[in-house]
Amino acid sequence: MKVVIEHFTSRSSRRATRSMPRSLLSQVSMFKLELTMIIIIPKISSLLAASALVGTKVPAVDLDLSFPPTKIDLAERTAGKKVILVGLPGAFTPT
Amino acid sequence: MPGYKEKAEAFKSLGIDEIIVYCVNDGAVMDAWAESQGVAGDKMLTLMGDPSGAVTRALGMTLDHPGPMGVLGYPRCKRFAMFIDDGVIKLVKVSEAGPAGQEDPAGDDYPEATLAPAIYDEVKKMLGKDEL
Repeated sequence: MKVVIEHFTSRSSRRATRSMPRSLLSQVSMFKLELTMIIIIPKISSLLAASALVGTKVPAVDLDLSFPPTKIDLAERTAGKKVILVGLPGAFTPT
Repeated sequence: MPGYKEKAEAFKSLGIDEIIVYCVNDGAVMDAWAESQGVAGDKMLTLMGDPSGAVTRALGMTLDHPGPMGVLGYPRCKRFAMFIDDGVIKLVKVSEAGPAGQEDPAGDDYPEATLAPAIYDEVKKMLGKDEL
């Protein structure tokens, strides 16, 4: 976030805006604000979404074990246990 | 995933009972991946599938960015790791952007926050605090 703000208030852009008429200046600063929001909001909202999960119960939804699948209810499976749950975009990926 | 295999014993010594790794793939695919990684039937690390994406949606972890979708074909799940204690989510990390906001929706380029070493350190800290 700091990087983004610094980028849009860099010395060269400040110098450019100083010599502009007021209406244009406000347009430029609105544009800068919008750009900053466009970049920052998705990051903040996903961080909020993730942190909102902390303290909540895992959903009682089934994962599939093996095939044909044995249904594993996530809430039942994690009850009374300490579990690390990792989600990955695809199987057979290196990381 | 290989990192969690390597760290499985270390997690166990922290008091972790189980590590579950899942993808929006069917159980047969996950079994085949477990075979290829030498973790089929492992007591500590289990690979599971979420073929309908139901678990992913319930957790709000759907990955439907057009970039990864262009390669993977359908909505998957974000690269995340959670620590769950007695059914309650205690820690969530998601890899979906670089440290300076670089675009990386699937966490391919900047996966560090959700990899085993980082999660191990976080959980160790949390459990240390709880017990002291």
